[in-house]
Amino acid sequence: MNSSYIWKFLGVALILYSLVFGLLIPLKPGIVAVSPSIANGGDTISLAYTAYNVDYSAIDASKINAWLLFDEGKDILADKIEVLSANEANAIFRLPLLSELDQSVVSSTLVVSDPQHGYALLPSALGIRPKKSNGSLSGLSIKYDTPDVHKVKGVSFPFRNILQETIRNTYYHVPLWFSMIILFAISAFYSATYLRRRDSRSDLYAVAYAEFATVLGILGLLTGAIWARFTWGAFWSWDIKQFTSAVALLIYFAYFILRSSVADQDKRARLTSSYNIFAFAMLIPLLFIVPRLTDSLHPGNGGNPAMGGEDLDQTMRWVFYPAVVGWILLGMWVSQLKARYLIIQRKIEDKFII
Amino acid sequence: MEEIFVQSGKMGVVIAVIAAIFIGLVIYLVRLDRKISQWEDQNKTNTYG
Repeated sequence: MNSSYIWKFLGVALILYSLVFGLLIPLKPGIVAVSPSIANGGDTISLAYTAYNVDYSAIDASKINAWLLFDEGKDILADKIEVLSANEANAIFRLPLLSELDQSVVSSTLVVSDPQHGYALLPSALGIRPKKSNGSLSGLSIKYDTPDVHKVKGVSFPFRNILQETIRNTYYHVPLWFSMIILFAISAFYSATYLRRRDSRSDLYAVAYAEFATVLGILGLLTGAIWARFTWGAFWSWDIKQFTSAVALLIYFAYFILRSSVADQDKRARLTSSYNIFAFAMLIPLLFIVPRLTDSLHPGNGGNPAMGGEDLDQTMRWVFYPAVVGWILLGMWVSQLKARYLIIQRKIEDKFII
Repeated sequence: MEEIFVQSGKMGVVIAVIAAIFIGLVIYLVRLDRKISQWEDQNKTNTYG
């Protein structure tokens, strides 16, 4: 095999790897719905919940623990669990009065855990209205022992309440942007090389790289919009990062329009090479600085952490980073094909037509 | 329609995203293929002349 194919096949293999493992590895268990969502302090309630990625038909109900977790760090353990179906159960809670709390509603997180599936949680699952009393039963001071939190066995991805299975899009949507940025950087590098050497080969490489980077950017916007529709609620919500990445692509559209509007080859190459370098210089603040200055729905912007915690845990990194490398290599391959085509075209044009 | 995407933990959204990327790549390749074909047709005699 020709050695020039090694990195190309590596790129394809890494993308294939991210498809196979990104789709096959299961999510951790989660809780998708609870009812009721609000109750009064002091009541005994039956909290019905629907779990995800569990099979209660195979396990003993007495093995399931459920408890409500408060910000104060105290828990209320469910007295009993009644399994309703393979993924639904009732948790019976005797709620504390919470009379010492001066809040209209106290929010609590529902945690369920069993030895077979591990734990699952739903933040802000149940709101409790504290009941004012003479203080004979002071609610949260009743501290139950925290039951065992069972570990989720095997390799799995985090379960995030709004994302659910779409957390997998991290391996398909995000690497498009990583690859786009690298390809634009290579394009700017070729433009700088052109300005130094004045060889049309570098100029054509710069166009080819910028072109496929733009394709990846458009796909990034498109896939982001599909993802946003079912998580943020709308295809386009004028999120700051949606906006700045669209502006960055418009800057590159102008690059191609500029190229097609100058007839003279050398003049076109000189003019657009300078423009391409400035376009890349604009890309950095548009994608990395401006989105951090204001509120954003994107993780990693407006003070939200990204690349850490439950949004990208250790298991996800094992799929995400290979996908990034794979998309960069595939992008380089396609860009080079286009550049080679442009170079042959130029050579033949110079020889025969003119 | 909405249900297709949201059922089984919003798995349909992941499939839609992968399909969009694949379709986008194919569109790019078809356009490149057509450019090369057009160009080949124009230069049939010259290229090998």
